[in-house]
Amino acid sequence: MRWRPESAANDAAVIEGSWREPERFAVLFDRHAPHIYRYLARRAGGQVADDLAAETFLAAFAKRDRYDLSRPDARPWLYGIATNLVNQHRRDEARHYQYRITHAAAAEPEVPGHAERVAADVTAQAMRALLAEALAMLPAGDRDVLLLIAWEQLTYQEVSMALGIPVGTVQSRLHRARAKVRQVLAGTDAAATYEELTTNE
Amino acid sequence: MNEMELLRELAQETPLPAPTDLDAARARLVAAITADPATYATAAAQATVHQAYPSTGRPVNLLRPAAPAPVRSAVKVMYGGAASAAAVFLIATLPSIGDIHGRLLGHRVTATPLTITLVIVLIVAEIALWLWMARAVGQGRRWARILSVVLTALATLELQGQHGVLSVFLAWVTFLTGLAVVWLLWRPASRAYFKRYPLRADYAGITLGRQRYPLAYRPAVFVPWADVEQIILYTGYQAGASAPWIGIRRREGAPALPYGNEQAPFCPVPGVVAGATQRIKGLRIDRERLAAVTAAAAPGVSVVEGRYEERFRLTGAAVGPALALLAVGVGLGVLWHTQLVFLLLAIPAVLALAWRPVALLADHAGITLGSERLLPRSPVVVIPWADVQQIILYSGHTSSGDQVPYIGVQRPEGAPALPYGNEQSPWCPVPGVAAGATRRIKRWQLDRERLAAVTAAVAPGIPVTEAGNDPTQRIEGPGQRED
Repeated sequence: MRWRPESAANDAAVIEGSWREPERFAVLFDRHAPHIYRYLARRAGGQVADDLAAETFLAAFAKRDRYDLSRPDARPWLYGIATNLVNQHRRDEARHYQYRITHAAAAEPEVPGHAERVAADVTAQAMRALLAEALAMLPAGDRDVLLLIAWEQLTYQEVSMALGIPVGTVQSRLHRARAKVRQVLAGTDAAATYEELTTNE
Repeated sequence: MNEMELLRELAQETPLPAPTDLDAARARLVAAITADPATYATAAAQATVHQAYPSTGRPVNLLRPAAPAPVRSAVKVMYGGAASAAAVFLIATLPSIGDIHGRLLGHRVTATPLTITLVIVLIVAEIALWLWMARAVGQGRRWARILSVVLTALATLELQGQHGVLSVFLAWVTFLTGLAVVWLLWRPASRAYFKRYPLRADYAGITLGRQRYPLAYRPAVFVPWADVEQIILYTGYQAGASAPWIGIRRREGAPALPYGNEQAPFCPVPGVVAGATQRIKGLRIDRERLAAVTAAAAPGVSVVEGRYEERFRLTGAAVGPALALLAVGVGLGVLWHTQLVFLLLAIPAVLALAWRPVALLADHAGITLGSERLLPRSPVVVIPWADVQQIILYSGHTSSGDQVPYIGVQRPEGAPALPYGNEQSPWCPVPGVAAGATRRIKRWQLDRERLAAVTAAVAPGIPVTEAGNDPTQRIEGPGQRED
């Protein structure tokens, strides 16, 4: 047998190997857990991300024998599981957005400085609150697509694999979600002010 | 700035977690992996842990994994076989139906008491055999699995020449049960349970199995990961023959082993005690898996590959004549009704097929270049690392003009003369390489990465150079290679 370091094997090979030798699955964790954890922290907050990341990999480990080996990259599969878990903990996610809304609204600029700088900080906080509000208002399916693309940089194809929906549906959901977010942001003039400030800098 | 950019900016607020943030999640996954039935299925069946107690001093079997489902089914089926034999026994020995003995069993029970006794003894023996086999199979004994095939084959003999309903019934039950058992025990899921693991690494630690010596044996040794500093693969000797060995260097202050607390005699790494070494000859150690398990269970422990061996492989050139010899032996043996011809021709043929001498060995001692010629054998050349300047891989030509890869060892001026071939090698582009210190890579394969890794581990600083492409290019160990 030729020496092949574990890191050189692709995800599908690792998962296939883990069918007979389960300990190999730890490699998949070491490879992808930081990003999955961050995704979960972004969506549901740091307090539950730990728990959800563990559950994601436990679920992945439990159904590793059903993994489609024709896909060398396991990220879409893991993101799909993580997204399903987030949707099962929708209350946590909603609470997280609520926290962001109130936290952003209540936040005061920490460093007193230039008047424009202060104004920019305030507007940025307001934008974040609005964004969180817009995300909270989105239907779950649309939100999944939007965040996997905007935050995790997945391609349409990868989102389609992760959520098990056709690419066309991914595109239409993304379009709808973006339109809604834009609508919420445009509902105030904060967006315009913010844009103005950021472009002037 | 559009909404996507705003979203990305929002996402920037959450950084990647620190490695310690993932510890709890990783621990949960590791627990799940350890509890997975497949882990048990592939884990050692023979592993035992030596403990100071109980007072009997016998090794206590702590690590025996749960049997996989097919093996458990096989054990149940075998108990079923015992039960059916017991039922027949009961019916046959009930005095009230003594008259039907003959009709049912097909034996003349009224003939002699000896016949009756014999029948009873046979059935009791069969019950005992079922129970004994069921127990052995449940414990994962290798011989039990093989014996089950032999017994089932023998059971087919019982199918003929039986009279009487019960005898025929018992013969068929035995045969069919045996078939079911064989099928269950030889399924892929069961196979790993019966594998002999002289070495086991899991999340608890490393277990070195029982080590056999000519007149004694050393019980299995378990070393928890907390005590392990390094795992070393090296060349050891037993009864004068070299073989691959594995040794565990334990941290200072680790508890004493029940046996062999002196330095291992052939291990080049100090601090490895004899009791924590194990010969792995004849067993293919899965280095990749050992490294994977070690990396997963004890990330700080390094695996030092101190031995790389390649042997000549079977090729068409060797198989053809050997098979021809075998065929002639069998043919003449049948023709002349004698086994002598067969023995004279076929056994050498089989031996020739089975004999696979070492082509290349790199270990702590140096580089061993095997003998290419079989008859008469040219001497094996051992070049200690002190005499190695670099290892060169290049291509040359055979006498028929085919291009063939070569391996050569460049030695410093003034190195001791080789037993033969002290002139410059004809194809080697590097001057100062003696022909006797080169070998064709033919009928064997060179894994350059492993050679480079072992060289880097046991003789750091000695380059493995590919002279064919770029004389200055060095192949480094896999850990240093960034593709």
